[in-house]
Amino acid sequence: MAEKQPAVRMRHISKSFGQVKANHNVDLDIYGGEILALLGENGSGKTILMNMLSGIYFPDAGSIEIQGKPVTIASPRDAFEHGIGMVHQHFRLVNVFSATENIVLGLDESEGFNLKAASEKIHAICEAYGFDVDPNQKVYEMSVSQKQTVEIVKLIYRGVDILILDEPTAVLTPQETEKLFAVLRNMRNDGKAIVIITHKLHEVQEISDRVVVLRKGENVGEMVTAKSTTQQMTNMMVGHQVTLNIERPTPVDPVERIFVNDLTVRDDEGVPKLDNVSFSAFGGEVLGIAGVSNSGQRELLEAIAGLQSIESGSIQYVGDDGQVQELAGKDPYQISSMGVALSFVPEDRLGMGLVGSMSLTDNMLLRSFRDGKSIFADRKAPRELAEKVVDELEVDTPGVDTPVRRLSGGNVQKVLVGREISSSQASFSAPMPYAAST
Amino acid sequence: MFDFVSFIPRAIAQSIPLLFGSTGEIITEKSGNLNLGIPGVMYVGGICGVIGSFLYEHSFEDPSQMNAALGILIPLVCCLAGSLLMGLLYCFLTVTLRVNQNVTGLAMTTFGVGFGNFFGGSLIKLAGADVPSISLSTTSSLFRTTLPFAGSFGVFGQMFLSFGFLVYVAIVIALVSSHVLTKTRIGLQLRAVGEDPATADAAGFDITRYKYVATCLGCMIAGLGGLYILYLFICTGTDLAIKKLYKMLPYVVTIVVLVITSVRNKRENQPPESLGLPYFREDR
Repeated sequence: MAEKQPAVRMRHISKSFGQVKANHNVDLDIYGGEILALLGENGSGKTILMNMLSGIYFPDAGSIEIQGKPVTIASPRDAFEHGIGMVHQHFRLVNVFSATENIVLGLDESEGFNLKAASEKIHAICEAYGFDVDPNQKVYEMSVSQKQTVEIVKLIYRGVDILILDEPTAVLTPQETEKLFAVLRNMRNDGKAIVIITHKLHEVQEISDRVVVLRKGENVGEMVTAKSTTQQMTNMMVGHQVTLNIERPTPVDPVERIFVNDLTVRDDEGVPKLDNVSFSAFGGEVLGIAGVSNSGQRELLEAIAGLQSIESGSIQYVGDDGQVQELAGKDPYQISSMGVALSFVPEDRLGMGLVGSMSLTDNMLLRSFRDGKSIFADRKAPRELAEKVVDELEVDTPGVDTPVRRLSGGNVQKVLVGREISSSQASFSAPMPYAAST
Repeated sequence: MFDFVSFIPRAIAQSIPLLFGSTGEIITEKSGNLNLGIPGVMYVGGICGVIGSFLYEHSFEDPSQMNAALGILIPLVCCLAGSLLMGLLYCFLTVTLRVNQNVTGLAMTTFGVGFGNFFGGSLIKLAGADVPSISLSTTSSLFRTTLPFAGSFGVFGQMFLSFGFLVYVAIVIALVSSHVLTKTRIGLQLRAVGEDPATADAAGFDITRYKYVATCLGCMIAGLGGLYILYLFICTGTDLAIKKLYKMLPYVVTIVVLVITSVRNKRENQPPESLGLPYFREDR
């Protein structure tokens, strides 16, 4: 493969945001007819590196060559002209437009504006690759997987040769993932270069031909998928030997903490979300709740945290002294003033958990501002807590005064978890903690 | 008792400045800029037009010797130039410097009103008239020239054909913008910029250029509304009770329109998603 001309050759690429070095001196080759997996932990700079290739960010230093010719990619339009297209983790689709309108958006103005012809062409593409898209459906009426399909169709419609997918499977069910991978293999066989950004090792094994590993913004090595094991990949990704065979010690004298009895929750439209759910959770153990998304996990956890009104059933909490307290029908403030040490890490981190434009310190303050007698908020303790969280959970941030919104997804998660752990040891619930990814 | 034949033309005449202003603002808002400075822009546009025609009309001993075409063109061009400058100022502040749009818009309203009053006052001084007003009777009559055959259509002609050309310009601009926004590629792209600039950017549009052009165009259209008010505003002389009723109507209609759109509750009828938010590509 060494003598083959790479479709993209990136050399010595560096990019920093303020004090944070997102990418440092990265070299990367992408070949046509190959699926390359870009592997790395959260915040290792995978997305940023690819954003520079697709024209969203401009590199501070380094050079990019496409098909052997040096190019400058200053905008997404430049990227399109060089045949590079990217499916972002947050879809770049206009909600109130139909699929067709989104797909023709930004195409060459010299062609006539004919939505009908475009939607026929889209239909043909869908037939050819086996996509399931109604060209006239509005984007806000689509499911996540349909939106992703529209994104991919958009790139094919434009005839891109280099396709970048950022965490494409994070939002898909296993069946949808299978379908996506089949399409990607089709496209690879057409000679297109495909890059998928991921941190899921089994997917790397399943779909990619070659793996490049990034760690802390640097390219730490590459390997041919067929000749390497997940163990090697993990070690390279983390930077030291990691045991994948997780030890599962039996929980040490578990005590019952929470009983949920016949819990029934309906949403605003009266559709039952939880139907007579009963279980108990023990101290000293981790309880997993499995299910396809939207099966009611969120409602269950919100009901326990006091954020969801419940129709019937009871939620009981057993304190350290064996005293039983009823949590059903209480709001979060009442729950915490009852002395119940319960914390909740919502899946929508910046929506429900943290205030994006406030600093780490101020976000810590959100838990403690009611304490203290003075009319002034005590900022010293939250500041110390923020420093402790940054230190202990290795949050990658320029300082505790940085707005949380500027951190990467994984680091935001760490801040939130850090705050919640600090305020309680008893029980702790987090829906979809793995939704964090950069 | 209720004189329809005189009500309709007055209603139309009074609504035209609003039509100019709202067409301009719609084009601006579709690009994601919330321009609260439209009243200021209308003031500046209007006064610039007046200054232009004042200088032109007063350069003649006898205003009746004026060239009719120039008499209309000069105020129009001055008005468009004045409101374009306001649009450029707004864009420079909000798009290039990413200043808060609400504050900028309100400041521009204050500025525009003050600018208008100051130069209006200066013109009155210059004219040296006894009453505090400027007479631009010739230019004004040019702007009020109606279609020559308006009278020959009876009641219909009186109700719909008895206006100066700016009324028809307003209606044509409104219809054309509606067509452009919904039916053409450029309209689709402009709406994409206002809905979701990150998407539009990823699709390869120059966000800054779209915002500048749409906002300046919107300001120029709104500025025409200002010019219209100054030349053609006809104060109605009906009795007080009906006048109050007239004054109530716009608010009633607004509420009815809002109720209807909210009942239909379609996402397409909502304001653009990123209205009022500055766009910075490398923000995260």
